[in-house]
Amino acid sequence: MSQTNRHVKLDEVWAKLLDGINHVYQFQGMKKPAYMLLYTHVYDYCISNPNQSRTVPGTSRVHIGGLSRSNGQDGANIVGGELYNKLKNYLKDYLKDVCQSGVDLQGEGVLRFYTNRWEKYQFSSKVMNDFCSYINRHWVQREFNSGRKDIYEIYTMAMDSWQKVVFQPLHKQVTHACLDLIKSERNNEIINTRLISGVIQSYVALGFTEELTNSSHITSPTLTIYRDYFELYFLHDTEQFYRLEAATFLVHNSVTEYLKKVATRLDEEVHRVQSYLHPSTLSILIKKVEEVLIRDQLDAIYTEAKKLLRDERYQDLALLFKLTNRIPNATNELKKIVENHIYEMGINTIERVSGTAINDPKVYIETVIDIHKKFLKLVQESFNGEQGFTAALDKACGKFINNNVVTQSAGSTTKSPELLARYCDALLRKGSKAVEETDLEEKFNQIMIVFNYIEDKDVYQKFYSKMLAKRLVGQLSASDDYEESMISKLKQACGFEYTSKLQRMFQDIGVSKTLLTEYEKYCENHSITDTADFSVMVLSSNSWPFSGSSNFVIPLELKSTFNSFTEFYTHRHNGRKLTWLHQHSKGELQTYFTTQKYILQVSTYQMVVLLLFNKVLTWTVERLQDETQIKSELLLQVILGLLKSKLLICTDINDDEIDEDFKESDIKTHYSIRLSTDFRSKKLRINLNVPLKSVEQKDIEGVHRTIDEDRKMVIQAAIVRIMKARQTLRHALLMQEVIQQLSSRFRPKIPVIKKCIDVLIEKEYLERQSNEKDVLRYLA
Amino acid sequence: MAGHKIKLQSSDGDTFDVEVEIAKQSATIKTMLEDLGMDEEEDVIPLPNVNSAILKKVIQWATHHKDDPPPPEDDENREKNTNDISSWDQDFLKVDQGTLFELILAANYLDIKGLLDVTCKTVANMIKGKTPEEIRRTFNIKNDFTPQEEEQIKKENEWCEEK
Amino acid sequence: MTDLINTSTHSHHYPPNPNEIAGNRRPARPTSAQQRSTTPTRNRPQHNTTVNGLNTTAKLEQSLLRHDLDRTTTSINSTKLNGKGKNRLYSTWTPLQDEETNARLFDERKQLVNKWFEKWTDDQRRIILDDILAQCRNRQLTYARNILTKRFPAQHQDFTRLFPRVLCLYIFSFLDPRSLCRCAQTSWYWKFLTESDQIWMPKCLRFGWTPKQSSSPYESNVWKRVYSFNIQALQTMPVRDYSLRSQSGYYDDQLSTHEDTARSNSARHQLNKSHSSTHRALEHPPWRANSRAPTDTLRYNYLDNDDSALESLIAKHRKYGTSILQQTESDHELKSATKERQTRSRTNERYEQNGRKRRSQSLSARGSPSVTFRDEHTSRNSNHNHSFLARPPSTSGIANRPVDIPRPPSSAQKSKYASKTSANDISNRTWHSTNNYNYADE
Repeated sequence: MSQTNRHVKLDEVWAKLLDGINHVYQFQGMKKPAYMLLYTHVYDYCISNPNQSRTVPGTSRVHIGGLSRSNGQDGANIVGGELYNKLKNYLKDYLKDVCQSGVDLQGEGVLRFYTNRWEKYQFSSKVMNDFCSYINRHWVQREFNSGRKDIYEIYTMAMDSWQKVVFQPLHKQVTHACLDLIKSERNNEIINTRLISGVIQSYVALGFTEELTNSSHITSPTLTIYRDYFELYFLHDTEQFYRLEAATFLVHNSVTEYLKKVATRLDEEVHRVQSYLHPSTLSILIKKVEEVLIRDQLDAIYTEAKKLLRDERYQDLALLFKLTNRIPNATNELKKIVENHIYEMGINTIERVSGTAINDPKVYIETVIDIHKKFLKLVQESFNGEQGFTAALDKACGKFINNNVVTQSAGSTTKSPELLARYCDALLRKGSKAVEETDLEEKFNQIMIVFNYIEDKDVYQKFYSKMLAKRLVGQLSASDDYEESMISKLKQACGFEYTSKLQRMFQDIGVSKTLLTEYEKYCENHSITDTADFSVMVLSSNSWPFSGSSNFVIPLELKSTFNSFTEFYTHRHNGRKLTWLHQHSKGELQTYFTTQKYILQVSTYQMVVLLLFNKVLTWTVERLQDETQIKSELLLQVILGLLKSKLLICTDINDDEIDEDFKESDIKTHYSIRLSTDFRSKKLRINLNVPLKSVEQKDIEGVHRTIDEDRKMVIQAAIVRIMKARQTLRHALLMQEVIQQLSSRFRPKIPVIKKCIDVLIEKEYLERQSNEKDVLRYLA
Repeated sequence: MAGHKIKLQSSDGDTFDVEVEIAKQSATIKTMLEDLGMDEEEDVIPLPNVNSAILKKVIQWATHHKDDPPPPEDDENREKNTNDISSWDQDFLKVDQGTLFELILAANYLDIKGLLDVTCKTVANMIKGKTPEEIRRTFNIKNDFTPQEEEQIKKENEWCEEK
Repeated sequence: MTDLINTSTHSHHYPPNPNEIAGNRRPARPTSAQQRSTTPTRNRPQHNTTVNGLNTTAKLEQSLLRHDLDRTTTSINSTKLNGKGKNRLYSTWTPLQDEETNARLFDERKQLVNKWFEKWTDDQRRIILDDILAQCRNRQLTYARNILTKRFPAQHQDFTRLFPRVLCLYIFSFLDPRSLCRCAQTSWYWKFLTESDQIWMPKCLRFGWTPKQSSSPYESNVWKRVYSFNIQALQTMPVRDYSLRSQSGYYDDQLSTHEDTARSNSARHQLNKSHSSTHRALEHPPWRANSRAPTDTLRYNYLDNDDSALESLIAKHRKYGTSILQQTESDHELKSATKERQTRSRTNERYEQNGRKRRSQSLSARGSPSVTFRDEHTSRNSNHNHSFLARPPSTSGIANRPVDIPRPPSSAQKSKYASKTSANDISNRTWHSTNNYNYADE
């Protein structure tokens, strides 16, 4: 019964199915009842064999070694294979016809044909697959499990058939037509992208068959077909197209125009992939386009970059950067170009203002700040604030700030920190113009930017503390808050140690105030009444950059004050030594000899000289010196100042001789000086206390001189610190460490370090290892 | 979509209104609806392999299980467990053998994995723990062994019995 | 009488019939046999319309025609025999007078109907059945029902005759090995189904067992034998120091626990039992009935559906390693040790295909308990005792021990340890699992 019966059944079921299948593949709608009947036919056919298998034990028992085993391949009795083959053959014939009608088509025609047929076929196959799904569940699964690799689920089999029967003969035409269409689109024609996306979708769907080896699933879509039959050609086409475009476009257009074009092209390609290609193509395609349009044109782009920098066309630069950044490592060259440009601009700008800048910290520093600001903007706007470009900016700024025409003409690299410190001083002093708080804060920040570029931060520190001292002693600070804010910024930048002295200076001022009130109480308690109205600042000599001053005979009027305070202080702080810094002291005198009573603000020196005139009205210069014991050069300066103020009169010189050119050296020791009894002034309060030229000059020189010495000490300290930790270290490594440790202060010079090492060896802090001269050892 | 119904027709002509979401537990119906769409026109879907009584039971089962997560894929690494039949299902399957078998066929036809599993497990449980003779009685199996054959086969399978 | 009218109308529709009609015309009450035989004809008009609806008219007509011609010849013969023409007037269908002819005619018609019936489609057959049943009287319907209930009993039905094979196999796939073995003892067809590779292969691969010689692709039921071989190897493993404990009365206790905890899932019980079974390999264990039909049907056993039980048994054996397997398999070993490797790799390939998915998962995940054993006399004693000391000490004679005896933690660790210590001895290559998982060698 089985064989013939099954054939009959097969024919029977096929007859029923054929109608439905034809229906489906002629793309006529199908109703649910019809569908369900088809499913039922297939189902009934597939499960129709239990009768037959019932005969197995009885008829086909095979006796082996006395006992029987039922024979029969597992799959053999499972119905489905014949129907499967019938379906397969049907599709083959059907597709042959399809293929025949498309084989002569070209261009859009073939695309329209292919996509149209494909879409319908795909849908039809899905429907067929589903109403035949019992074959999939029942027979295909079994066949597949028993190792057959050429059996797929019906839908996949349908795809496979399409691949073999339609795709293989047609794919050349189809791919070619697609590529033509894409080319048209690149040439700004409007195309029907649905045609291409249909083809792509088909190629992707056909991908499974290639991968027979790894069939962990019955259908596992891969992209092999798409890759091999489309993507490969597409990329090749793309390369050619853009190579040609780059070459022709650059002949007639600037690089910037070209780059604009590239940007739009890239956008177009992204859009292209998104709208009708497979997403996996995106990265490969874009990389290809970048290679052709950007990487291969980098030289022209770099040249353009220089030009754009020169012309300050930052927007275009931004585009240029954005595109160049797509190519790995291509921005390195760009960074160098930017660095050089900033450096040159910095050097040139400073050269232009160098005439005034060398003595005008405001001009110099604000020029520097402007340059930095400008290029920071460049880096942020054009280069997206990218780290590499920020670094290039820093490098360029560091170079031109520490070494330019101004510093060269000053003959030392320490000019920049000096000017910066003086700029700060100007801002922090009373009466500076930029008093508005926000403005000042902004300026502080700018100062800090420049400060960070400065190599010799120790120099800055020296100058800054000097000027801070003056501001504090002379009570010239605009505001304590500003001072503190600036110091805290410095502390942030360089650490606690860097500003500790500055902070102590601040403290001393505060302590002095309480000290003074205590002193007043002290006077009260001890009924000391013969003191002058007196205030004092006690400054620790470590923190303050002051050197002791030349002494003089303290006039009677002040003697008791001096003594009582000294006594008060030494009593409070046993073992401390007070040194009076007269050159920084000042006082007020009131004239009684004039009808109008004037108040004179004078330095201590001036006061000493003037008080002498209480005894006698006329003194010779020589006598004045004897009386006061002030060094003659200083005394002459004091006298000169007083002469100029007309408070004193030199009887040996005509009044009109005392003009701008009159120097202290013109005053001879035998000249006699007398008080001008008919002194008159418009102001009631007269400030005679102008800083002495010689002191100021000496100060600056002193700073420069002490810097080298201080640096040596700092270097030595650093060496000892390092060696203490390491015990033994190679020479070269030590150098490196030292430079690294000190770089936040200044850049130590190698010969200096070497000298310091030698000094330390001499002092027996270090020794050279006996066998290895190169290695140093720390001696505890 | 909720509450949308389709009509299922049993082999003996009865029509059942079933919520789409419930009917979709049948993979067969689910794929059909996906393929053909849910037209407004009310097609009656014929199920020529399921009679009224069984279809009613199937719908009852599917309604009760409509919120179940989809059954997990078979894990061939473990012995299948037959002790995990919910008590509702146990009650539901307290039917005569004929109905049970028809339910299996219907579940297979409609491709309802959950129902197929639970029914097959029930049959398996009917086999478990029985002697060959008991199994024969339970399923009315004709013993077509000769006594010698039977003895031989018993020996063959002795390894499986405890010693 | 209605028959007459019917036939005449029919003859109009049914040209090949005139001979018969002429020959047998005769007024007579149709017998029940007659009634039956007329049915096809009576129903033809209906029939035709249905057929038209199905669009297969042409084919059907054709086949009908052919049969009619056949019948015509027989009819002619019968007319000749009846010669007299006496009956022509009355009987349309069955001559009543001549018993012999009568019987023959009935027979012919019965055959004809059967032939037709065979050619008809399922739909058509259903229509016929509907019609016939509609005409039947209660007595006949009862008769039909009896036939049907015999064929399709509501309570006791052999589902293997009802279901497609795939479904039967699916049901059997839920069964444990022991149940399958018992099923195999019921009938040839059940034996055939329950021994199919499809069922046993996953059970084997789960433990990494594969047939070591490449069997011919047409050989079936390989996997059940692989499984049984491996199980038997485990069961017959001699555990040498059990004799010490055999006097302890432990087993009896063990036994009672067994029955109490028949369904318990404790893997530790399993372990203990495996010892007892090996230990009493020669004598019948007391609980094993001698009767042909085992009565202890609800026993707990590693052949039930619990992998962990069998796994721990395997682990246990690995610990008390013996070389029994090598002995059993020594002839294979002898064949050729080198060929072995090739074979293995070939089988690997083969099962690579079959078990692709599951195997790669299962084996790499579990590290496949390969059935390789080795002697470890030194460590055995201590390990062994240890694991028993871990039991609650007062076990003897407690029948109503709670079902869930907490498993001492040490045993789990032990088995883990054991699986670690087992090494892939080169000499045991035969029974290597197919995977490449290597246990660290101590």
